Amino acid sequence: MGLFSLLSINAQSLSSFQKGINLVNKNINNVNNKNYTKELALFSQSSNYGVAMQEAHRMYEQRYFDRYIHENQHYHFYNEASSSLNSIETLFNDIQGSGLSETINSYFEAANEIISAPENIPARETFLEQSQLLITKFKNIYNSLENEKSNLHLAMTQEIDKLNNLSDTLALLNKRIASQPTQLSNEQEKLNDLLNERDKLIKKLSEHIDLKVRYNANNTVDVFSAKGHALVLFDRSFHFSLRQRSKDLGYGLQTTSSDIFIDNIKLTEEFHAGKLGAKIHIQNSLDTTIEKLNTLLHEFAIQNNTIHQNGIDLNGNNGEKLFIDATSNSSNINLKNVAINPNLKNNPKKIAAALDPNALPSDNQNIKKLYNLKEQTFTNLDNKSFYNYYIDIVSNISNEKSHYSSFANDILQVRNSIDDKIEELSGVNMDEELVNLMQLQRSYQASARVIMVTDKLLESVMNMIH
Amino acid sequence: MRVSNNQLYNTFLRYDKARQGELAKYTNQIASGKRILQPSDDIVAVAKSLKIRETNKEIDNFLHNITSVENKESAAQTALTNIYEAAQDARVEIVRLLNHGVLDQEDAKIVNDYLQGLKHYIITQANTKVGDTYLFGGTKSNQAPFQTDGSYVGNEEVQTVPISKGYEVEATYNGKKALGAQSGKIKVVEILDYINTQIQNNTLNGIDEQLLEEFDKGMKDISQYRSYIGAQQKSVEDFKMQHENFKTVYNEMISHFEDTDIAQAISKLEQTKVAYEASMAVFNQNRDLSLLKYFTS
Repeated sequence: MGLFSLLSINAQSLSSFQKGINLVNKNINNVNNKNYTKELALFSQSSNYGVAMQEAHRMYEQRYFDRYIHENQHYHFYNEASSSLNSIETLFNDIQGSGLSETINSYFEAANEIISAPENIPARETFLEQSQLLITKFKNIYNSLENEKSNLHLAMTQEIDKLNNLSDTLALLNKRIASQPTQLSNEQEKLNDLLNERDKLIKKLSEHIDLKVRYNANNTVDVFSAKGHALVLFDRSFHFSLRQRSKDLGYGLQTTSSDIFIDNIKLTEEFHAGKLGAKIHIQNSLDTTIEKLNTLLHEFAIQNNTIHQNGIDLNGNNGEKLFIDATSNSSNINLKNVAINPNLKNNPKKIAAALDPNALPSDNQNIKKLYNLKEQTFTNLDNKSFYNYYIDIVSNISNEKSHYSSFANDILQVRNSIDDKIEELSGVNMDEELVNLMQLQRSYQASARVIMVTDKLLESVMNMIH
Repeated sequence: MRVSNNQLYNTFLRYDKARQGELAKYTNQIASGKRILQPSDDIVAVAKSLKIRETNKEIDNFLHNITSVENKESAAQTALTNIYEAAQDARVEIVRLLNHGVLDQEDAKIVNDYLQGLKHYIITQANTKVGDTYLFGGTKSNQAPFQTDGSYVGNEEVQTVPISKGYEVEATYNGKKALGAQSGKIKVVEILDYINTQIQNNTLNGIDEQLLEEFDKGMKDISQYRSYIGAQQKSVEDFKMQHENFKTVYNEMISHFEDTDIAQAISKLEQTKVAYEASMAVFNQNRDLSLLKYFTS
């Protein structure tokens, strides 16, 4: 082997170690980058006694990543559902002072005041005020729930824009990955960067929806969502869209709900994971809650009206409706249209507390019947009393919330342990990198020394010629 | 096991968040005095507590009715006692008339004036009001139930109010029954009027043992009704005590379900604080452990 070839071998070594140092440098710089996968310089001896950097190896384990994606979508579903339900639950926090229980009790308390003093006008006025308060509370909760729904719709719209951007970017990335050469180590590094970017996008997508990923041999991915519907097929992405439809919640109460489409195919009911899946689920929970609240109010109004209309007021006239449909005066009293009968509003004498027109003014038979509604159960309310049906609504929401938040906690533990496993394999450890750096530095210095020695040898040879 | 630099921060953040969550929870519990901050914290306790609140409110309603009934009963009791005592005074005069027989003009006038005074007093008492409510007019409580001649214009239906589940007591009274006015007029007043007429006519015919017996019957009716109200008062009092006892028990139960056990919350808060400080101290020490330190020095 000639001296000049020694020079060229070591020049190659220097360059290889330089590349290795660059890789260490890259690792150190990305030490806190959560989406970075550590790269390891793999050297191989070359046939000419030298060394070459064979591969910028990406420290990556597919099965951990797949499990992470699987758990991540479920974690985000439960977490989002739990925090959304948290704000709904606040509306029914009777212990802390919100909710309807106190007002329902106060309504019957006011009726009881009339029982003990049917001729007392202030007692009657109090009853009307409590009726108004109860209606207002029902309406406030209804408005808050509807407000929550429109916020949910807005959030869904934004989320869908984000998802469409993500899938577009992933399709573009697929294209770049497929066309990325991988022969040289710097080309490999570039591919590794693209793969990191790809995984980051998949992670982000998994936060929002159900996700199944198919990894192709050329490192591209095809992504499928609910019911196996494709979101990204190589360089093609399929867009989400959101449409609103009207929904009947009973007794003429309409609400608007959002439907999710992928590539114009309606898949609303098929999402069971991710933040978007949770939002669809919460939308349904909100509808159920409004529907139940509406049933409670309707039954309450109708039952009270029926009894009140059978009674006799202080003037000896037949009782009128207590609660009315303020928009069309139909019997379809619901959360939106309910109001106190304006004829009664400033006319407490019109409260029909009596049953016998000849027993006025102290006859309290009818208001006693109205008070007894408190204890009665109704078929429309699943054979429960008003109050118990309300407790049922509160329990359902809090059960759901508690269920989701405990699931979110469990899955978070699992996801975190997988994340730890991924970090263990793919994360950067500064000490390790510094040792690697030292090692490469030494190797570099050694190669440089060989070049110096070779140079000296060449110099000796040159001097011999003199 | 490899430990990446990110893991150190991730682990710290994870436990830091958990500790901060706990700190916030215990601080809220102590500050609000409530153990349950959201219904989902303890669904069963919330459902039970709401149910007890309903029962408690019902007891409050019963107690409210009891207060109102008690006032009326005691007013009715006083009125009936006054009427009975007035009737007793009248009876003494009637007995005197029976015993002495003849009356001179002057005596007759005095006795008659006295009896008429008692009669007016009896009618005034029979028209006793609590607030705007006439007690002895049945449900016709807005007008005086007895006219000046003692005739009854009230109602026989009475207002009853519930003072416990399935138990109602009268809150206005049937004057006909209470004052012995089955004939449409208070019996003792009727007899006093008869005596008045006879005396006016200068005769004592008909003022005899039989009349006294009738008078006694009228008094007995009043006395009987007074006892009836007395018995009712007793049962109302019993219910009141029962309700108050239940209310105390229920309030304790609500407190048990809802309220913070301050001692427990404080000790948990202290525990969490120690754990939080320890995790920060450990993190502070560990973050400096790096080969980098020796590279730079």
